Amino acid sequence: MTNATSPSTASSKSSGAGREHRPAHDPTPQQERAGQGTRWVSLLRKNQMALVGALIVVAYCLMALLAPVLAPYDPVEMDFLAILQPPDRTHLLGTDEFGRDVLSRLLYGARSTVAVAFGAVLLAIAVGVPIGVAAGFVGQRTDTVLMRSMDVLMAFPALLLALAVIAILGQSTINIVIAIGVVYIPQFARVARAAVLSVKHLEFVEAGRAVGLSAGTLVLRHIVPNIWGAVIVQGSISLSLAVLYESALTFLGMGTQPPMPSWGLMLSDGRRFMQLAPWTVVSPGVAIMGLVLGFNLLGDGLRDILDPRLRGAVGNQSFSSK
Amino acid sequence: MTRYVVVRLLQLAPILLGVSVLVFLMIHLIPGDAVDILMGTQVSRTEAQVQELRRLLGLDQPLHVQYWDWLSRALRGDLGVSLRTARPVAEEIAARLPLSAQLTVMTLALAVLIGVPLGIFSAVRHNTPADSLLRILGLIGLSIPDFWLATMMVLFASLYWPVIHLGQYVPFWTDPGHNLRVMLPPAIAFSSGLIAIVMRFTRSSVLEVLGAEYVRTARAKGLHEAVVLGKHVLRNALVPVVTVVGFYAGYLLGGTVVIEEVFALPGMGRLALNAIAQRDYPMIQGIVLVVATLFVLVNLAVDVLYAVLNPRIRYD
Repeated sequence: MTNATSPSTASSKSSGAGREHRPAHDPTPQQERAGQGTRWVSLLRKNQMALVGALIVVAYCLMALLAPVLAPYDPVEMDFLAILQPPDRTHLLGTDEFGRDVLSRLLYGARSTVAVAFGAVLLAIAVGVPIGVAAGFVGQRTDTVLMRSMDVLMAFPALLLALAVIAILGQSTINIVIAIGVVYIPQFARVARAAVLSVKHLEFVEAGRAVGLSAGTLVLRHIVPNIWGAVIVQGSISLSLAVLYESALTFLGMGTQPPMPSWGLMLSDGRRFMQLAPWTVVSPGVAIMGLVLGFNLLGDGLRDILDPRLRGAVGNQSFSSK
Repeated sequence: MTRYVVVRLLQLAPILLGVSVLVFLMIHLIPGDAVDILMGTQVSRTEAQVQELRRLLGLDQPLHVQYWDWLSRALRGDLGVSLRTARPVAEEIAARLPLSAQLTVMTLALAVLIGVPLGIFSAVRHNTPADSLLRILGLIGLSIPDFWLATMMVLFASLYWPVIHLGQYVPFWTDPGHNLRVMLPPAIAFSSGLIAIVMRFTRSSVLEVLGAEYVRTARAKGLHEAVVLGKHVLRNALVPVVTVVGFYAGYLLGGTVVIEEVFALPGMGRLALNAIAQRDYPMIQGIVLVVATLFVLVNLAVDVLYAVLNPRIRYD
């Protein structure tokens, strides 16, 4: 990503494309020399919303990774002497109708949700971005065919499309990843295509073409590095919805199968006894909400950072500055 | 204008065709043989039964013949027969669609009635504590899973107002009062996310217009702030809000399933859920086809409405 030092113009619309290299604030020479990673960290530090979001997301990821260390009990071990226990010192969040520890199940449940959300979005990026780049870069017939097929996929409401994919493939965690991934493919294709179109005719690409770079080199070294900003913003927005879809689908019994825990499933199972044991339905919902909130904050913050055009409207500065 | 509508309709044709191909192919995309899966639970199955089912599903014909048969029947309103109830799929869907459609309409209405005023208020008072509070509430609204909110509503109702029984669903025309009493709680739960979306979008749209030069001009010529807001700002700012709301109309229709499940409403979502659990493929195909078609048509209506409201924009 070092050679794409393009001066991007202000003409690119809506996608935030080509803005990766425009610093959010006047850069000090030091920042100018700093690597891409440092730039991201310093931008995150300046946008507190994104920082809080990133911290929440990291905390959930750690929860998922460290579940075996953190969980006080085995998430599937039943204890019929401790059925529907209210939260107390031995079971911080209480137990469910099989005497399983709700906290331990929440911690392990984070694994399914986090893995599915990231897996689905990565799948959508891996398929959608190449489609969008091809459509935008090649243009003409290729563009029409590819983008019309994306329109067909977008003609299905998201949850229904995911359900249809599961109806075809069967009910399992992997299939939920595929189902949610399929839903997002067109969106990444669109974002990538728009981003490519906005940098395609800039001078540095024309220059690359003029010195005889092959199409592949041109795309990989000069176009792709400039569309990541848009893809990352779309990614963080998609992650928040992917968490909601994952929990909705597991709630409907379409994903993680019992006895393995997932938040949606815990919520769904807890409903039978919720008047006796409200804690079984409260905590999974709070867990879902926290993670979605984290991704939303991160997505909002990243959009502000990467798309300064919107900053006046969304951020804290005066809107009249434009 | 007519030309624009015709052009958009022509653009829709290939999309609807693509939708129909995908829906048709669903049963062929199932890993393994659909007939094997359907028959799987039966211990004693005869070859005659297998052939009969294959014929019933139309799987004994070449692919293009199957598609053509299926499409021409679908266009005449014949979506096949449910494998579980033996009733026509179209009939079952027609019986369940009104509930889901009503839930969608009520949710949209709530989102607009609550989201738009809050968004305007937030924009006008931007950078005040009230604005900050609304923005935080907006983020929470976006993040709260609607089915969890719905579950919490059912839980609180059962714990603290056990006398209130939500009751069974009746069609609106049979008993409007009873119908609304049953449908309002699900609509409230379902609208939480959309209220937040509409509010956030309205806020940024109004803020953007407030910074426009014609608004400065309007203020400079001494117009009262209320007139500036009503005549110059809102008229321009609310046009894009129409698109957002319209986009979610179709979206909601495909998402009623979870809310219907929580409130035990006999809508199309639960029909789909049962069909998936029972592997009732004609039913699944019928529902997906109907909802996707409605989704596309609603989006067309929104595009047209947008073009009517905003003469500056014509996509030729």
